[in-house]
Amino acid sequence: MADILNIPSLGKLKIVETYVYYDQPVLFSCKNAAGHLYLVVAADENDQYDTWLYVGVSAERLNNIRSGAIDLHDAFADPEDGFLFQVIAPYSNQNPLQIESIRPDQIPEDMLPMPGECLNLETKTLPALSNSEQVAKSKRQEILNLTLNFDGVFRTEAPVAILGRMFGKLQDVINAIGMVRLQSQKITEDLRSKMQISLLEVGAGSFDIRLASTKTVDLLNHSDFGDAIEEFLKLLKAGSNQEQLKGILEQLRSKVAEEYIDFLKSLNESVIDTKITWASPDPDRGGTAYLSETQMQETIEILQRFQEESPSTFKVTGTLTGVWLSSKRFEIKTTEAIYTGKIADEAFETVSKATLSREYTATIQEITQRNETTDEITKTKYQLLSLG
Amino acid sequence: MEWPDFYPANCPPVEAEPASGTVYRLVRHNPAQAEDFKTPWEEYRSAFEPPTITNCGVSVHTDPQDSEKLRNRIRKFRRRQIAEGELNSTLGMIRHIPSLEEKSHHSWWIPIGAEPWVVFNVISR
Repeated sequence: MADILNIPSLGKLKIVETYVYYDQPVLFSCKNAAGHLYLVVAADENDQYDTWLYVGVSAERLNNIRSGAIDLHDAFADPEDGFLFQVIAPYSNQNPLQIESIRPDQIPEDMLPMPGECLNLETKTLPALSNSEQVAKSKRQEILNLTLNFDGVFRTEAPVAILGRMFGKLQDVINAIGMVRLQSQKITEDLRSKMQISLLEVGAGSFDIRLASTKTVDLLNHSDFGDAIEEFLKLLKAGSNQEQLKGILEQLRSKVAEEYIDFLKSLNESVIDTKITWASPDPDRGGTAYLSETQMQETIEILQRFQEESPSTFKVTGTLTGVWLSSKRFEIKTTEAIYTGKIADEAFETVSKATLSREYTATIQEITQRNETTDEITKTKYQLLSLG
Repeated sequence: MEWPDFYPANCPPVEAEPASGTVYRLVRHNPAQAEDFKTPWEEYRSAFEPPTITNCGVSVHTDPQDSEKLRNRIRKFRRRQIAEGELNSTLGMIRHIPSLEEKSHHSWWIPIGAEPWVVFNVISR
């Protein structure tokens, strides 16, 4: 039989990968010296010759065929170039090999792989990301790598809706941590710009996403974003360890726990496991945390229990702008936020004697409410515990 | 065991084991004939120069579903029939060499004088 890897007009071919071998490679990818890729299949046989089909493929299309996104039938029946090659390889060396360019509709259907027959090979459809530490150093930005392992997805592709929700929730957690770190009662423009995360690139692996602080670090390689990421990584590393989670969250406001729960939920819907790696321009900072599906679920349950058992308190200094004794309600205005809510019984006497428009330091309890149907945080309520 | 003259010096490979167990081969004839067990090197001689360990081995599956899947994907084999055979050590040496998509693929090296077609029966047309 003629050499099926030496085809006039295609050039000398080298097998890149053999997918099916039976007495010889019968389904394989190959490329010529110019780098053109072909997918080749043994399509027919008779007493005198074998018939082969060669279809030109881009690297991206070959990846889709390898991963099963395109079935083997369509790989040949619907070529990117609109045509493919039929090669007749006679068994006798006396007869020359013949090659013909044909349209897919010229191929008898019974020579094509049956519809629905797919390869199911794990395929990296995107190039691997470069070294995070080097990127952090050269860009002078904090780098966060997220590796998401989606349930039932063989290709390095991810559902946009899930990613969008996850990105939003991640930003919310970082903002909430930033509020604590920067002692801010609300998300100011300054805080927003310091905590802002940008999408840098997407690469191969399970599904790798590289995020970066929008702001660069200072001359000492420090950034407020880095401080927030450090707290975030502590939370992740605590996994579902109840004691560790409690210890970390005692230092943070309950808003952080709320946002962290929502972030985990955004992942837990469709991600089997998650790895988050922080690379910083400061060589002494950084780290990696890993969360399995079970850990995510357990962490969510633990945090929800914490919230119900121990609502958090915080102090603010601001002007007492309203007191309604009959309904036991208050209003305090700080430079950053307005707090309204119930007056606790233990604070009622003090508040009833307080002077409106005067500045006070108040201890306020934060209570979270969830929508019972969607389980989403709907409102944060405040209760005034003391005024001094 | 005596091997065909065209086999290279190190064939069958040292990793191969005495043939045994039930295997499945796609054959052109019913009942199976000697030419259904020709080595790839004999059948497609000029495509493989010179003979190697690989092209001197005959392909078989230990899972009949892999043979069925092969016929569905590689339509060159659509007219071939699946034959089942019980191997024994007089029929040569065998080695598990899975391909990316056919995990039960084995290569089988058949010695001179063996008549493998005798132990094979067509089970599926």
